[in-house]
Amino acid sequence: MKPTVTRREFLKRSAALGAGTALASTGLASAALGLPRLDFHRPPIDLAIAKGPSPVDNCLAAVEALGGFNKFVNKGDRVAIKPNPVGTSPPEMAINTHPDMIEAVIRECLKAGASEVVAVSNDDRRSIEGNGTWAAVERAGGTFKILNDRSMFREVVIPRGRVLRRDMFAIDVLDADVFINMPIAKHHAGTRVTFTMKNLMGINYDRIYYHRTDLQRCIAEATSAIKHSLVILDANHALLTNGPGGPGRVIQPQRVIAGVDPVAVDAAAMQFFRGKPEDIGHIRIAHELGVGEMDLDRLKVKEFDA
Amino acid sequence: MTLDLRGLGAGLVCAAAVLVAAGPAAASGEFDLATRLAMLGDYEGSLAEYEMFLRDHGRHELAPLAALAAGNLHAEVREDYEAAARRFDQVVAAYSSSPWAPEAARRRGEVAEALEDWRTAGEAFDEALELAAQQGNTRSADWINEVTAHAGDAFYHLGDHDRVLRTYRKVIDSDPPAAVAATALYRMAETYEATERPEEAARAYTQILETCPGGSREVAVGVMGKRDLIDRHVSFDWTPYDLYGEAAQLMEQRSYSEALQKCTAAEASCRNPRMLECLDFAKIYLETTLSGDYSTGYRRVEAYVEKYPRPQLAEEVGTTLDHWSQIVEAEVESKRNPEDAAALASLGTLYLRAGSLEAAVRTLETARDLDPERPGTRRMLGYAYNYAGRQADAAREFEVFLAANPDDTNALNMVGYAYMGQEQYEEAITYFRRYVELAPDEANAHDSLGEGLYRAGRLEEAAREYEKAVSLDPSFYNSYFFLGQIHREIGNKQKSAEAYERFLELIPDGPQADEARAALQDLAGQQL
Repeated sequence: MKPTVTRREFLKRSAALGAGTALASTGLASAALGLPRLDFHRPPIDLAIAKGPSPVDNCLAAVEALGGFNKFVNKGDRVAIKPNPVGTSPPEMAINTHPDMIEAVIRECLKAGASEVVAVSNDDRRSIEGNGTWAAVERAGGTFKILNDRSMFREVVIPRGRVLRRDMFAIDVLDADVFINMPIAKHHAGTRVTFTMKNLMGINYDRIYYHRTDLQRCIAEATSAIKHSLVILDANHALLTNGPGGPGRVIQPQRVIAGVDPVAVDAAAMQFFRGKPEDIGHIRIAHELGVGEMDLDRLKVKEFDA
Repeated sequence: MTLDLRGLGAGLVCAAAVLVAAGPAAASGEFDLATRLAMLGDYEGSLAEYEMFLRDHGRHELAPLAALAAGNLHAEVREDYEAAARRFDQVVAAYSSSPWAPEAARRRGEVAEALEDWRTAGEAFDEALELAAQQGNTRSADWINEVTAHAGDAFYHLGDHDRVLRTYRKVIDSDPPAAVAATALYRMAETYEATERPEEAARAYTQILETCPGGSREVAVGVMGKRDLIDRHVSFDWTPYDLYGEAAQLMEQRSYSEALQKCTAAEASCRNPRMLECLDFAKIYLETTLSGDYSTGYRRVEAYVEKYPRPQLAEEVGTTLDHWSQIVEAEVESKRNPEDAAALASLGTLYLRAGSLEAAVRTLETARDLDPERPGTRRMLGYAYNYAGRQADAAREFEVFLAANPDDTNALNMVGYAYMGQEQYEEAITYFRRYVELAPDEANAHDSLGEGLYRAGRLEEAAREYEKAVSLDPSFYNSYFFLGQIHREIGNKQKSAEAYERFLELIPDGPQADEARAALQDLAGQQL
């Protein structure tokens, strides 16, 4: 949906009324004008890493450390969630995002006042039902939308793109007030790892273009075009080999990593895998594009028991 | 949500105090806002935010990126190339040491290209290369190759061949990775050829084989194709290179023993240290794949990297280290838990991906016998049997997998081809039809069904499926090849020729290219 009034016009009007710009940050003014919310919560820390035996407890504790769901979701917000719902395996095989986590996140968003929560992906329904994600979303009061039609996507210009100057992404994500990316930590035969940024390949229309041109760069440039409100990475189990479909070697870090910077989250997830963040093409390129920070020494990271 | 707008004015006044103060957090917020507005399709708003960011935070570390983004928006959305050029020039001038300066120079070049201002384009691309070299050549080989190509093309348009050659020579002299050096030398050689300097061309081509034979497979193949030219002007011993090329083809066909023989013979006749470096790695790879001893193989590759810290075959070495380390860890895991079917399945899959077929089949069979109900194992064993040429066994395993996963289109395709391998075409068609039902918009599904129908002699139906495949994906070259065959068989020469020509446009050097060319010649002969 194209806004009918830009932020700058709104600010001019506000100045005429003798106001400051503060209300823009609360979202009230944007909502008043029918615009999707444009402000973002900036947590007091960059990354929260919660550890423990319960995926749900880890998830909730990590987001709490960033300020809590009420900071990310305002009353009336439309929320879009992108899990990784591939395959029909149970969570212990680390192929898909833990359905219990997805359910918990949806419940919290609705509790914080979201008007709707939509989970999206372009995977097949059979997989999504088979691994429990579909039922988890519905139980929590959300809706799952399978992105299987061109009409569900909209083309956007990618200002920081070179290989990817334009691409089509899911309208539900582009127009959402809050976008929450919920990947799982996995090995990937093509890109070495799949975390937050690679997970965006579930919301774009033409994945084949990425494979045909420069996969790592396209992933990074696509990430530059999507504003993440929140990232919640499932590292309760992690697949170390034979990803993304497995079967492979699974470890149990029993962690959830949360933040607002997809590059930082992915960099932190590398601790469970061979290599450093800069060894992964899309992490390095996204860092170079200013999408986020891959040097964890420059970030405020809080790791704790949930 | 509704809001009483009558109270809005008062509310605004009351809330006047805070936010959007100067400072890094606020600056980042404006930058994020620009991204968000672009997501919403408000490009003017996004551009305005980037411009405001630059005005208010010109010294912020993201300022060059904001300028780059603003330049892109000027170009992509407004088609205001002058404004775009100004922004790109600003990044280069004001932020020359930032990592985005080379990219901005490159974009400047592209804008000039769009306006056919070849002088500016060439100089901008040259500048991009220079900036990248100053920053330690941290750009990827692909980036350097592309920019070099654009620079060369721009000067070529001007007819300034000396400048073309100087551009390539600068890149070569900057000690780039082997992949870049090979491509730059090749383009130099092509330029010499185009300007009728064949002796210099021949020397440039041979320099590739002498200094960076492993830099680029595509370039090496190109050089081999220049043999006649080279032989006319340079005395060159082709023996080790011919043998290496033959080894590479055998490796693609998974004929590892024969490939190893070729490599050993090449080594015996080679004096070139760069070529010996490539042969060294090839032998480690082949010996390990044949023996299945990945622990030793991994140690050998580690030693190789110590000996050659900037290997020509950098990508292959990196991938091999990554892959073999996984195998070694999986082997340790399996030894610890020999009854763990999941661990064995994982190891078998790794062997399969590494090309150790016997080890893969053996390990996956053991995994299956320990836990026959595990569908993933049956699927991987199906692949292993397929690669080993045991089509009946492959079909059986995939069918077990499909019983648990009836809508897995990949498995349906594999079963279909397993039956094709046994010339049981009607059975194959049944599976391909199901594939098409589940994935009607997938070109590959129609292509597979087309092939089943073709082999079963149902030509008209096959043609319809292939037509559907190319309508879904106009670059699906396999379908064009078969359309060429089918139309030839039913006597439609015009359509046959069109299909073969389209196939060759898409894949002029592929394995069936010679066959397609021969068919076209035959068709042309028939028309005379």
